[in-house]
Amino acid sequence: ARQSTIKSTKQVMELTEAAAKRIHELLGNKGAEYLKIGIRTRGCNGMTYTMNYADEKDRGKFDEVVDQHGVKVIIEPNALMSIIGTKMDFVSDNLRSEFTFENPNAKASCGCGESFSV
Amino acid sequence: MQTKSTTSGAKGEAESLHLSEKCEEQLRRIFQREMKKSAEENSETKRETVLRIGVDGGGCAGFQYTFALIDEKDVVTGEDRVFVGRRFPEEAKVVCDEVSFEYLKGSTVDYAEEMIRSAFEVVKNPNAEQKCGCGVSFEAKF
Repeated sequence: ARQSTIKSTKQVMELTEAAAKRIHELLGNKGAEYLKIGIRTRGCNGMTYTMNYADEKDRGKFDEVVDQHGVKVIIEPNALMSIIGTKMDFVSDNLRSEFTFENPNAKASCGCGESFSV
Repeated sequence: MQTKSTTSGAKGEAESLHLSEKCEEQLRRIFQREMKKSAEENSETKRETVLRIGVDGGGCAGFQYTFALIDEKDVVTGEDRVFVGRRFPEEAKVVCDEVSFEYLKGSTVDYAEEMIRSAFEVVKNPNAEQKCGCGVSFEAKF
C-alpha cells in the first residue's frame, strides 16, 4: 500500500501525478534539477504561463519551491500571487499533450486556455 | 481507398497542404499505435489514424482551426481532399473538406513540440492575415 506523505505546510501549487510524471521526464531528458514556472504578459487574455529548466544556481532568494511526487518546481516570485492555489495537470491524447492550469485566481481565460487574467 | 490522393509538395505547391516532418512522424506514431491496438483486439473497430483539419467560425481572430482523428472509412469521396506525407505516404494522411481547403491551401501542418504543450498546428497559412497568440484562430485575407 502506498503511503501518502503529509506536508506540514500547504504548497503554493498542486501538481497532479500526471503532471509530476511529465515533469520528471522533461527534467530527466534535460538533466535539470528544477522546472521554473512564471508568468508573462502575452496572449489575448493578458497573461500566460512560462516554463523553463533551472538548476540550483538559477534559484532566486525569493523563489518558492513546490516539491511534490518527487519533482521540484520553482515559482517565480512575481508569479506567486497569480499562481497561488493553482492545480497543474498534464493531459495527453493523440491530438495534443499539454500542461493545464486550474487557477482559482483567474477571472477569465481565452479559448485555448493559454492565457488568462486575474 | 477510393479517394484521389495528392502528394504534398507535388505540382502546384500553393494548391496543396504540406505536412512537416514532425507532423508526419506524429501521424506515423499514431498509425502504428492504432494498428497495434487493433491487432491485439483482433477486431474491426475504427482506427482513428487520419488527421482531419477544418476551419470554423470562432476564436478571438474570427476563424479557428479544428483538428480530429478519424477512421480512413470516414473520408468522404468527392468532398474531401486527401494529402499524404512525402516520407510516410501510407501512414501520414491529412484530409480536409473543400470549403475549409479554401482557407488552408498552401499551409503547412505541423506537430509543434514544446515543454508546455505539444499539438498539431497549422503554420505558414498564406490565407491568414493575423493569428492569435496560441495560433488556434486567425483572420482571413479577403
